[in-house]
Amino acid sequence: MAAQATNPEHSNSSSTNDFKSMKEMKDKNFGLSEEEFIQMQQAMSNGDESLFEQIYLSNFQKCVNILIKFNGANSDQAYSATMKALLEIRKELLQNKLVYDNLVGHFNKKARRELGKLKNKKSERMTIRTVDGMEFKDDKDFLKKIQSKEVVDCVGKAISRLEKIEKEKKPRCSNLLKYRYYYNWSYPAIAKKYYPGSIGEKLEHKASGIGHKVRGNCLPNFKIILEKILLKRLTKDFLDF
Amino acid sequence: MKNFKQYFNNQLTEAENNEITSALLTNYYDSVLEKKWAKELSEKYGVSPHKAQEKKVKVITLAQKLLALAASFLLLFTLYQLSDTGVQQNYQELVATHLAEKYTHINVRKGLSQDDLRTLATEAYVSDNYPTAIDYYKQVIQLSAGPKIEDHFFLGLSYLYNNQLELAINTLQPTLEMDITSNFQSKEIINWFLGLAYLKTNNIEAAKIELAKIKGPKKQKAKELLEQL
Repeated sequence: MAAQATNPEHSNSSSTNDFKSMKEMKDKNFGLSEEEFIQMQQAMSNGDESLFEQIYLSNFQKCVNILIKFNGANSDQAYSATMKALLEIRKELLQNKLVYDNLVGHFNKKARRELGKLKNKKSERMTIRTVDGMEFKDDKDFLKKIQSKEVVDCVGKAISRLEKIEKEKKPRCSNLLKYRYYYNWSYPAIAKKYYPGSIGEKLEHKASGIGHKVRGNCLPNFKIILEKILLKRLTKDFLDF
Repeated sequence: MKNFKQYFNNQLTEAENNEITSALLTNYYDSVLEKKWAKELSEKYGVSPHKAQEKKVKVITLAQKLLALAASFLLLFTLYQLSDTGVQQNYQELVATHLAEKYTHINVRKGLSQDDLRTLATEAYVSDNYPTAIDYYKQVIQLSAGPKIEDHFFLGLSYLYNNQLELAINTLQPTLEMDITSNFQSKEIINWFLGLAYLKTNNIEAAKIELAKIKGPKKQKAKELLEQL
């Protein structure tokens, strides 16, 4: 150990190796250090996705080019597959499922997988992850309907209408539904967002209140509004009515 | 087999109900994100589905184009040498070259006025299209001779509603020093939203300072929030 400490050549070579491996890691992770990666994840969990978007969107074209050059994709397929991969990666980051390892490789791999689904129409075998982390493989026709542009547009209108009805009420149902069913946050996590100073029993009480509001008020209202909009815009056959 | 009728008539289990609600909201919010990213990819990075294809085509046919160009020159030169109509052919090509470059429309040259941009910003804000509202407000502010409080305020709010919290705070904070206008007479609304933005970033002390300044219509709500902190 002492020899190592006093031999400048030895200590130089070990710090050079450290520097090289740090640079290699950064290159594999879009130029981010591990600390910067953690900061990006934390910012995302606080609702700030600007760094995530800046990094991944600036590398979007590279991923598209790889799919075109090495995976036989046409431009539309490469673009769609990369976009789908980005949506999935965003969810993985929000759920802390990604580690600082090889984000570049992971992005390309994810895009290749999405391209495979597009080409082989594997999307017919759909799974949905529920708020409790369970997966359901079911009824591809119904899932296709939910994914259709018409239904997606109607959901958007239902949310807008819900927001108009709520006006100044806080917390807003539209946001609560988003946190619970899109971000998959638990009720305590949602309560923490609205009442950041609350802890312990107070937090539990707030979480319970939010849960009651979502189940007893927000979700039923959303369903009533959505049903009306769907019935107005789509056929009863499509809706199985 | 699950269907919409069962979902709306509450004939499903809680897990199935949650599954479908998740799917509906995920598809919608994913589509909103996709549109936002597609716009940013196109405007900021020049990436769109078709541009990737164009690049590919150019690479493949470049050699062919060069060969064709060389052959054309050779042919033209030969024809010119052989014919006394060489001059007429050349000017037609020149005309075609000049006409190939489209003259930009005068309205595009002038660009949109500040009022046009402000109207577009307002429409985007009202439609909850915050990324577009942000783009337009930034252009409005760029064109302004001096700071106009309502433009900066609504840019700050657009950032806030778009969850760009640091940008929201950095935009709203300076508005407290700007002059009020006939459209914008009370700064307490800025204190209110700045307080909310600080709370979203868990900066409790800064939030307390802003909320404590409110004495007008939002006083009760500010008080309720302060009691929680």
